[in-house]
Amino acid sequence: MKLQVGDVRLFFDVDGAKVVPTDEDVDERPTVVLLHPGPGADHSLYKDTIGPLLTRVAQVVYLDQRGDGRSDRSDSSRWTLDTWVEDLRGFLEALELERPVLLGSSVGALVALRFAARYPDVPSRLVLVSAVARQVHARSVAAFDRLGGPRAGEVAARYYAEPNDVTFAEYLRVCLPLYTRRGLDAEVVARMEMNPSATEHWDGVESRRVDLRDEVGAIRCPILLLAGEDDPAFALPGVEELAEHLPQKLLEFRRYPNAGHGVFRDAPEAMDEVVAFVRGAS
Amino acid sequence: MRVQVGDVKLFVDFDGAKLRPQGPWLDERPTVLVVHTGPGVDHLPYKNHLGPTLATVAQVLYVDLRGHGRSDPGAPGDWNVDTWTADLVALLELLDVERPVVVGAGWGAFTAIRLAALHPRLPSKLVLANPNARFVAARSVAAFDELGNAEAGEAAFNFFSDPTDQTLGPYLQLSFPFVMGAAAMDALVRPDWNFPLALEWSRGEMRTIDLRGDLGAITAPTFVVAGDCDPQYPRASIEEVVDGLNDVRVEWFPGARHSVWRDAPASLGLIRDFVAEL
Repeated sequence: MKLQVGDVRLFFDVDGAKVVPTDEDVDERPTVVLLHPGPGADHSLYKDTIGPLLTRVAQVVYLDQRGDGRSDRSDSSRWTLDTWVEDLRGFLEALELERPVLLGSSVGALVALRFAARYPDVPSRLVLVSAVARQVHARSVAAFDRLGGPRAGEVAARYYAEPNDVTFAEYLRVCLPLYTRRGLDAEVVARMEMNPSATEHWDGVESRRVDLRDEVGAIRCPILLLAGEDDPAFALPGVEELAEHLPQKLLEFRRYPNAGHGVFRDAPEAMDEVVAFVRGAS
Repeated sequence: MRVQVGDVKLFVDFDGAKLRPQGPWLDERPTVLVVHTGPGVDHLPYKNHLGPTLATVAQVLYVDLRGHGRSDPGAPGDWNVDTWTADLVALLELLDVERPVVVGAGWGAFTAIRLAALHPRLPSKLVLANPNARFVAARSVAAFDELGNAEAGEAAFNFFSDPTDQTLGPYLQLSFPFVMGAAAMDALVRPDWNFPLALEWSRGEMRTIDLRGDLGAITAPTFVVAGDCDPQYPRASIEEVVDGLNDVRVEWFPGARHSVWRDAPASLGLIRDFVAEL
């Protein structure tokens, strides 16, 4: 399905019912909106991981962000965190999705964070997978160095210094395989409708403007933060920095050793944690 | 979810994803729009049988029609098949749902038929369960007499002659059990049944609706599942629909009442296969 939200049509998919009949009455389940990593990736990454599991306890809404997947590309001047946050707000309002659980991975988690800080009454819970408050490239380069050797670190540094089609192609070849410890599944990559320009724009322009440290203290709902200790892209020091700025009483922080950026793929037990956390929202 | 369609918000719900991983691709499944029976009840009973069966091969889109369930009531003047049809067309447009399979069950078949006739290219396929093109009171009363008993026939006659609060009670108590059976009634009859709408429609459009002229305009391949023991939607009136359709296959289920899939679960697999076949 596609829905007009402001100046774009956003693709979304839904799995699982919101209202479920029971013997006596009806059960109203929470809605979980899944915000994909990227930019440049799409919702399909959740279709073989957390999505199907969550349908046991919730209605799952998959959303392709502006610029990504099957949603309108729009243009690079609109590929900003603020735009994605306002798109999400318009999307939730148009479908009357009240008090959703927001689950975001990577940059999708940054969308969830800014949204929850700006509209603290809207989300009922936040699930943040591989999230940071800001991207410090030196931290990522050091992690690529450690996990993939000096060449991986150099390729990452070259890409971050100047994201373009040439440096990004090299980054995809050398660095992307290090995102998960189990190795990248070619079929998972093939299922994505990728938009490399969106990724390059994020790393070259928008990510340099984003620093959520001073705003995330405004969040007022329970937060589950999941991190892979071997995540080279959003390396652990950055996740720990974010955790320090989140409201401590609302935060559950889980670290998974031997897991990378794709926590669900490297540590499937993390998905059980998410299902239990979402079940608590109903 | 509820979406704004014209002057009302309509409740929609889902079962099954549209795009599903299959090797290196996302496989696109058909969308099945379920138009619930009524008047006055909502989409919920379909989640017990038809919906989950179809979700194995398709994305199921449930909607509460205007005036029903969790949708806005709207104005009583808009409680008619043309408005419900226009609402569904607008809803599909709004959600960018292309060429859905449209399922119309019982009373919902009126709206499904009108939609498929007015917009022949919109549905990719049509599934109708105990459809009637018009309401023939004498046929239904006779069927209540025959399939039920004299009391059921009389209560039906009184209600059809003069639908009021006073005649609705005996109809539900004495006649309706022969339509649904006790278990199915529990699923259908919930506290949020919109009785005013049921009365309004029974007093008004029920007496005048006649979609026999619509049937010839329908081009979508149609699968009719039919129970021969539904006194509200009697066999002769179902046959009238089948005779008027161009591209139709019909499957009769002896002994089945209004909820064909409940009384004859074998119908579920046939509908699933009809939806899935290319």
